[in-house]
Amino acid sequence: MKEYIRNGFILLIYCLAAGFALGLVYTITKERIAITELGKKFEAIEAVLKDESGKYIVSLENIRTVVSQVKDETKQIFEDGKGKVYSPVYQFNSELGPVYVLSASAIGYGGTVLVVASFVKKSDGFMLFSIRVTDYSQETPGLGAKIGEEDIQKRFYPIEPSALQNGIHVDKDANVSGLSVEEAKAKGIAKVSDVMTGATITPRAVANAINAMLSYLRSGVK
Amino acid sequence: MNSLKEFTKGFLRENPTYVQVLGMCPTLAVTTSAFNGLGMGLAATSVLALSNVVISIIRKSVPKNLRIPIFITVIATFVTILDLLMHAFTYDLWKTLGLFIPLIVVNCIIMGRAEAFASKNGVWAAFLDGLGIGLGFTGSLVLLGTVRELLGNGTVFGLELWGKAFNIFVMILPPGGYMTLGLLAALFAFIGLKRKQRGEQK
Amino acid sequence: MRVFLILFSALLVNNYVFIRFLGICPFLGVSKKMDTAVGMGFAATFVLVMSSVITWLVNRLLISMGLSFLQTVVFILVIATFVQFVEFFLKKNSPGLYEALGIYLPLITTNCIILGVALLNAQANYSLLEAVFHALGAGLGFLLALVVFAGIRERLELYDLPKPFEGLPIALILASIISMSFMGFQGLIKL
Repeated sequence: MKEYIRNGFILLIYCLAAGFALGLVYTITKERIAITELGKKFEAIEAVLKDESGKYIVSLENIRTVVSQVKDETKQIFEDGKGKVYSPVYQFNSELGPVYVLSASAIGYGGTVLVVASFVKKSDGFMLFSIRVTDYSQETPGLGAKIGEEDIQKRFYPIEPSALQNGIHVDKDANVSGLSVEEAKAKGIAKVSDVMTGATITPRAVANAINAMLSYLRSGVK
Repeated sequence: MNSLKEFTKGFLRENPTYVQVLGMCPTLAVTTSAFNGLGMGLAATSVLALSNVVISIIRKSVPKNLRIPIFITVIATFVTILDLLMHAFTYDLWKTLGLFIPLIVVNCIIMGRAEAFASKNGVWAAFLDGLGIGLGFTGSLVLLGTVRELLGNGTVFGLELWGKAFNIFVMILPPGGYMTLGLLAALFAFIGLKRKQRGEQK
Repeated sequence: MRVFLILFSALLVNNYVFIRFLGICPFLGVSKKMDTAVGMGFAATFVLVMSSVITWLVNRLLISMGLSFLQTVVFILVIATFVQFVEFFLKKNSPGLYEALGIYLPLITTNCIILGVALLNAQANYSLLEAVFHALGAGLGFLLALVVFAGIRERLELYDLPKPFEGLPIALILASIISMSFMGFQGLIKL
């Protein structure tokens, strides 16, 4: 019995030492981790507020103030069966009209794919202004993970409200062929099958995430 | 001379992957590209070297029957520290390696070295042993990652070699991992056999 | 309904051995004979389900105390302690079962499926029921992988192979072919 107590005591001391060391490292790195996470967030938000010529439609100072004002934690606020939308939703004023920036996830090939997108509110509905796929780390390199390339992401935007009536689809699901990239966009279709051969699940996940955000926005934003 | 031997034995003679067949899970899972292999290898090496040192320091004050839980605690502590540091400073790599960073804890190489070497040897030797075995592991991962990335994607470390001209997609998918490792292991066995034959002839 | 999707997803679509690459060491180590494979598979499934319940509860505790960065350390210690306890318990109360499963128990602590499933449960924020079904699927998937693999390997012993391929290399290539067939389950379930 005495042996057990002694052993338990020794083990406890080691665990306490380990816990103490970890607590120390955690306190040191905590701030840095928060900064990194925030930096990644800014990067994505800034990226989706840039137009094709690389000009920001909302000024950088404006972005920073709006983003730092919103203190909501990330949590799921909407789900449509295929995609999940997360808070916070940022709202900016731009020369094009009110812009909403939000994020959503959908299931890709290996895990969740996270998309940040910006929508401009127009008289006839929401226009998909830009997207960034921020997390595709579980997708297959060389196949699904190609979604990280900016040229491929550009196939998804911009799309006018009229073409988004039924949401966005990838060309394989829409059963069309022979369209050019721009012609496809006019029909709410992202033409990706020529650049992402062999990977249909990942772009479909991106489309699902975008559609979830669209339905969330249409359900009425406060 | 002796310490040099402790250091280099992990490269070939006691290579953890091809000779000892340890630490297979990260070997197969993260080697979809050479860079990921390198990242994983270096992460495991740092944990291996540091935990070897600490275990060697405390080896005399650890009761025999408490060895395993205490070793696990030490290793898990270093892994968590590494996880936090990578989250803070190498965000993208941290994202890609994902679950396999905390899983370094159960990498049999680290526990194996703690049991077989660090708990019986001095601090300096344990450090060199950890570093050597770790670098041997890194080398295997980079080799595997390079082959898979080259055949599957036409690139090495992201540099285009022949690009899209010749790609075997399956190499980057899970079956390709098993396949490449199997063929490389056969190659090493073949080289080993040839060497032995030559030795016998002499 | 969702729990069954999780179960089959862990069992077939994302089979832990062939697709997710967890638990390879015991998979290659104990799959030479059918009966050891079955023993190991059941022992792992049992430990998986039980430990996923315990780690789920522990995780809730850690989150409520704001200590979730200690996850890895605490999980592995809890798992190791639990495995020890099971061994102890079986030895005393059910020698028959101990004979059958006992020798695999020490190996299980370092099986990365156990820790992997515990961490994935925490990451995916599963409810207790979902966590249990996830663990059950992972365990049965591991058992399935071991049994299929052992069945083929037992027969492989009889064949004359080129010398360099004997042992590990042919086992890995075999695993590659089975893994390819498991890729066929891809898209079976959309979660």
